[in-house]
Amino acid sequence: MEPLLQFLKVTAFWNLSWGNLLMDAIGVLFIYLAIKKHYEPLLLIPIGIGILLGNVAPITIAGKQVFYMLVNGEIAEGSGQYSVMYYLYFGVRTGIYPALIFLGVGAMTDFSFLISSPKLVLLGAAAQFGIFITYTGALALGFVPTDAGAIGIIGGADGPTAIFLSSILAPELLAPIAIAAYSYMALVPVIQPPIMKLLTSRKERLIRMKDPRPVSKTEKIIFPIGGFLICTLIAPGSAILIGCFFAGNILKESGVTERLAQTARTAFVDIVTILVGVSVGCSASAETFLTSKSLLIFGLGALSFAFATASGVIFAKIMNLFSKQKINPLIGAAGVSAVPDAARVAQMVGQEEDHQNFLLMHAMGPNVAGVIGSAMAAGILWSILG
Amino acid sequence: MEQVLELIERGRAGYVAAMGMGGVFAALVFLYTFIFALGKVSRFGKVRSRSPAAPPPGPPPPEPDNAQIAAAVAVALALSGPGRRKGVSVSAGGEEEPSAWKAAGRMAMMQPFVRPKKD
Repeated sequence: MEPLLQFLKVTAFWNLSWGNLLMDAIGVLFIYLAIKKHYEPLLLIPIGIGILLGNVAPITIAGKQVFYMLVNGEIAEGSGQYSVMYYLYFGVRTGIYPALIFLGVGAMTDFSFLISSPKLVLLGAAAQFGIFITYTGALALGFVPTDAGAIGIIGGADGPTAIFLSSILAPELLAPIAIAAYSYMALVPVIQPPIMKLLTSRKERLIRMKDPRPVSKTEKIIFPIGGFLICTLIAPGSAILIGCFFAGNILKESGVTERLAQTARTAFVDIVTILVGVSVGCSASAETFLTSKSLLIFGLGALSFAFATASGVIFAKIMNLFSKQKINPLIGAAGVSAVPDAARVAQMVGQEEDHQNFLLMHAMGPNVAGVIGSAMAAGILWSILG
Repeated sequence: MEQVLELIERGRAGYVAAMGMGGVFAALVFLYTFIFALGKVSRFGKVRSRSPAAPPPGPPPPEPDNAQIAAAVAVALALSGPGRRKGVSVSAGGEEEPSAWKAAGRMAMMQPFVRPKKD
């Protein structure tokens, strides 16, 4: 009996808690949603795997923990305590991964839609309103300003931006904030349509927009350079994310660095996505994740998303009051970033009313403006609260 | 309620929201102005390059010699149908809308040959 007991003590079963099992169930749910429902599989699968890894009880080999990152509820700092995941998590903790993801996303982004209809850029600004409403809501619920700022950024619907800001303002809340942000991004097709339909009339949803004009190569090259200067001069805190975003875009548009752009938008961004997903998932151990704060963060995140969607749609309606060329207000919802899902949702809801109405290309304008807007909001929150 | 308001006040919610939204809007309004100006300049450049009065970019084209003129006319005659011989068509097959300066150039090549015939 004694040898069996000794064997049990060296297995992970001995230290497994109900919390770990619950988190394992959440990890499995993420993997299920990704495979069965196709909700952001590129993110939910690595995060789901990470959650499973992070909730295996401590496994020590040669004095070093393999997966488990926490010792007595805190990230292991002492000598010999570092784990493999601890080193991978370094990129999250220092904001390296979000910046690298922005570089890859920049190399994928086509700004033609935004350049051809410049007024749509304002929708990307309006949709950031949810961030500041949630900031106020989080303060009212008793969060300190730095935590409230990190929670508010969930409304930006941008996972890397949420990770970047919370790693600076509220590192202890990084796991629930990142997981809430990615979960709601995956749920964009579920959350947004009811709000969009509630705030628009059928007549508004039927609005057809003018075809965008062709954009020259020169404009596409000048835009990221000018855009970078404008954004970072106003909010220097956003320089890292915005800089990487526009740098990636210059690789794409310059036409002379096609190999670099190709790598940045494929293998490079895929590697970083795996690393960020697994290490964020791994940080969501039962001790840090299963708290009342996490529940509040998820609630506030939903509120943030709803307000961001609503403010984009309402702002599009306000713009229509002053504009000769009418905007279909559905594309306002794409201002929440979540590229390109939010744009696809605008297209989908628009086509429910009119099969011949193609809103996708118009919605891509506010969608990429939303990426810039949320990175700007993160930079400003960092400058004020950091 | 008072406690909630105090918490909001302590977190300077109004200030943060005003600064945040103000900053985001200011940046994107500047970006809008920049894109708008970029578009205008780009369209102005295109209009100028299409104008027949404007010289084509690069060095001026060399004066066509007789062999070139003959070749151009032969091609133009071959391309035009039997019913269109009088007004020789200068449009090349497959090209729907030749740019203004290209059309002007072709006309210039045609003229020295057509004139002696009329005389």
